Amino acid sequence: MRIRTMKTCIKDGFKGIFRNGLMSLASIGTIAACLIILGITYCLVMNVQYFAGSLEGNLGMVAFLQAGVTEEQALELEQKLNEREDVDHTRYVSSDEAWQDFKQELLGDTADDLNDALMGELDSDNPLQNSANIEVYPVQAEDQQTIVEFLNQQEIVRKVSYSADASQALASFGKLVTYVGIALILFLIFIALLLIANTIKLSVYIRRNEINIMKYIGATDGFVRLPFIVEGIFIGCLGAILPIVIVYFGYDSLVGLLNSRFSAITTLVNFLSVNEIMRGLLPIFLVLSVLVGAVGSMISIRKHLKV
Amino acid sequence: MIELKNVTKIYDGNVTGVDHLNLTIEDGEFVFLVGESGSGKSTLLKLLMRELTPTEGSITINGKEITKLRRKKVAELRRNMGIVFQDYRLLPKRTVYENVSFALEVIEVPSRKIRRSVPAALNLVGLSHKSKNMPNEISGGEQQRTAIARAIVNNPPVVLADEPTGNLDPRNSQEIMEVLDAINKRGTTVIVATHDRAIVDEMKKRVVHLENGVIVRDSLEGGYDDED
Repeated sequence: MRIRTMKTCIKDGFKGIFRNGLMSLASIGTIAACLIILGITYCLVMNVQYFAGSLEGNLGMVAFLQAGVTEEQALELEQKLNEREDVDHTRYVSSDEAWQDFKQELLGDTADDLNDALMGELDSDNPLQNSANIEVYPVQAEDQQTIVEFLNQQEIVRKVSYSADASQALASFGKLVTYVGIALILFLIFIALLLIANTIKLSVYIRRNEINIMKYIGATDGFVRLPFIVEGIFIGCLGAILPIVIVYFGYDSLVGLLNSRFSAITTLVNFLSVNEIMRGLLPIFLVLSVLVGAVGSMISIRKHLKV
Repeated sequence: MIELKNVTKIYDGNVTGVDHLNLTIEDGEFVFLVGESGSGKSTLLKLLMRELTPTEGSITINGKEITKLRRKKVAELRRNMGIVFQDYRLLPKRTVYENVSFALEVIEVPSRKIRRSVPAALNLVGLSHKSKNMPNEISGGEQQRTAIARAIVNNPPVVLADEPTGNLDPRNSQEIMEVLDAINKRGTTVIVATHDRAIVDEMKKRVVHLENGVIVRDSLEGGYDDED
């Protein structure tokens, strides 16, 4: 196709938006609404996944060791654990360290002579003698069960302490949100496709005589189709601009507000930054709007090419 | 040369358009297809422009079988064919000049050639002075002449016209036929489907008479109602 022809087709496609002004506006508006919902869903899914991911990283289990287990034996087990692909990292805590940790946790930063004296007494006779342990952090929450089984088979392990429900709940909640999000996104894409197809159908209907003449004169299908595809892509892209702006500023303000006013939430939950969100969302919006525009147009014009 | 061999077209619902038709049209001929409405004239033209494909039989144009052409090749076929309709089918928002140049734009003819060809085609149909007018500013006869200019601007070897005078008064019909005759005299094959007795009788060209999809008469220099 010649460059001049391409230019004409692009110009024609652009004109098409104004030719069906109101219908185009309605399509752009509805596509924008669909993309805004899609954007919100995306933010939600990504943050839940991020939250679940960060929780999984902290969702450790503790393997308490038998009394009398030497440090070499403990370190050997730790090494075996670290060689496993489902283990993210481990930490060996000797009974002394366990006592020091406990003491630190109990006393905190408070300087109290009486407590210091009391705890000092106990230093020589460690009450947590049997508390040597290995903390194990799985890569994913759902890996926890297999690691627990592995630990239970080890002779030097006395007991494994973990929260089976928490890990399973977290894993299934993360999956649920992702699946619901994907289903919602697919549904919204379908709606947007339907709308663009309808607008282009109107555009094709208005220009049906022109298309008819073009076909009789000997225009190829591609030549007839291109202006409508361009129009569909323009509508799709225009429909994507507003959601990009709204999601960007909306998300940024909301996270800012949560951080400043509700610090109790943000100490528990970390949110993805707006830039991290947009890095994923922008390509999705652009690819979707172009694809939906192009595919919608192709669907609408197919019937009219059979002359 | 256009050759139809044993061509039958049966529409959905078992309606026969043309029935075992055999017809040969030599290059440069002027042929009238006559007959009542529903006799198969338009079906025959649609088969030639490949808007329809026959249920049976073969159609060749200059040795090429057109019934099994792929869509892209259909576009190529039509670039070698000028088509004129009863209802002109002009683009209302384009001038006379733009309507004619449109035919060249869509087949991606270079601008320089368009600037040369369009005035020549408008001159041939006698519309040079109306090139800047919009279709609604000119008469029906002039609109049909614009449509003819659009059909011939690419110098196709064949022009097909389906009832080109159907919407015109006798004087304008006469003018249109004169234009088509002039085009034929340049060597272009012209096939006109019509039931306008006056012009057929007056022009004394080859007449192919159809009835119920069958050729009942094919006479050289005939009239509308000539007996064999």
